[in-house]
Formats: sequence, C-alpha cells, structure tokens
Amino acid sequence: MADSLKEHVDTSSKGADQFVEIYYKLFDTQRPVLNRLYRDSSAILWNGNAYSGITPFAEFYNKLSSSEHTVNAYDCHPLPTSTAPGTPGSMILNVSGFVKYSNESTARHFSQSFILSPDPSNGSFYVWSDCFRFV
Amino acid sequence: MADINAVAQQFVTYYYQTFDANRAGLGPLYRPNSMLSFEGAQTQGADAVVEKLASLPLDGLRHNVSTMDAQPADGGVLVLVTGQLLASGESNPQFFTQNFLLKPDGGSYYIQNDIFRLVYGL
Repeated sequence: MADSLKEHVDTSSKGADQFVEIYYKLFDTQRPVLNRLYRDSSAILWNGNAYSGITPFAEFYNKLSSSEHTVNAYDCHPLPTSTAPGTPGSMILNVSGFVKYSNESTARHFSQSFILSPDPSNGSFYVWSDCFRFV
Repeated sequence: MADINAVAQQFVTYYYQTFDANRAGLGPLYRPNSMLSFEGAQTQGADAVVEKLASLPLDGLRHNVSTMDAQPADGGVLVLVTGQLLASGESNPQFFTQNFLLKPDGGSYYIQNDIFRLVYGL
C-alpha cells in the first residue's frame, strides 16, 4: 500500500511539474491554445467569477491584457483512484506566485488551485476544476 | 447536495477557530488517508498531521480569512482560502493561502487534502 502511494505521488509530481510549466507558458505566450488544457466540463472560478466550461472562460481570458506569471511554489497531492501505479490518476495542485498584467504597473500575488484529470489519449492532464484568486 | 458555500463557510470558520484556540482539536477533521502539505513538508494520516501542526513554533496565532471560494469537486468540496496570519507579539501579518479538499462522511465533512503556503513579498 505504501509503495503504490509513493508511486502515485511520484507520478503526480512529474505530471504537476510538466503541467505547471506548460500552463503558465501558454497563458503568457500562446493564450489562444490554452483551451486545449480545459474541457466543456471544466468548472472554473476566477477571482469569484464562475465559468462553466472552456467557452465562456476563453471569452473572458482572451480579453485580459498580456500577462507574465512567475511561479513561486506549487504542491500536489494524488487523489485516491483505482488506477494502477505508474498510470496517472487525478491530482489536486495548488500554485502560488505573482502575475504582472501589461496594463497594470504592479504585479499581483495569486493563488490557484486545480484538480487535474488524466487525458488517456496523450498521458498529460487537463483541468477538471480551476480556482484562481488574487492574494 | 447541501449549499456548497454554506458548507465551506461553516467549515472554514470552525477550522480556524479550532486552529487558533487548540490545534490538537483539529484531529477529528482528518482521517488516515488525509494528506497535508505545510510549506512543502508532506504528512499523511490524522495523527501525523496533528503532530505536525502542534509542533509548529507559532504561539497565539490568529487567522483572518480574506477570501473563500468553494466548488463541488470529485464528490466533495474544493475550498481555496486566502488571508492573513498574526502571531501574538508581531505587528506585521503574514499572508497565507490554503487549499482544502473536503469529502463527506456521515452528516459532515472531513479534510482529505490540505495544502498550506505562506505568501511572501506583499
């Protein structure tokens, strides 16, 4: 039991490393493609505003000024699943850092909480739940 | 499902009241499968979690919650809290962010996942 938990933790950690790198890179430099990381079923809460699915959320974020995110820290926990170790299961991921929008003079601290689900077609993760807050 | 925001609000209020008054009282909120990441240090299981929290050299702590967001997720409730932490004798608050994944158990909820981070540089 302990071994398979360790494997789940390792798999989730690697998945989290990759996801964090891609997510903020896309948000900052290739925002039109960010929608690949979401689905119509994704539940998004952005600073108190709820968006059901990627379509209304994309409409919103495409209007934001260009951004530059700096990630300070992130933590992930694997969520208990019945998938075999080595096969990624879902995870909860919390990221904190700061973001500078081009139309503002100072950066803002943010905290973002994701629940990521595995995408079986390519071994990566997509956003099941997303909660973003300025701190 | 009960009103998510009410559940989360009740939980968050109870959690920080208990934390600030008597950290050991948090034990019943966790289970053997609960995971805590506190500033990067990972623990699992109610006993280990309470031991970790009780060992923190933070006396007379007060949490002030600034924001609380709740969403239904994975059969439970995902809660994101931001706020300030004041230690007695200190005049400068520290900012923190805490993430809970609550799961139902009988009539109430327990903490399955708990992630706490201090926010520096504000």
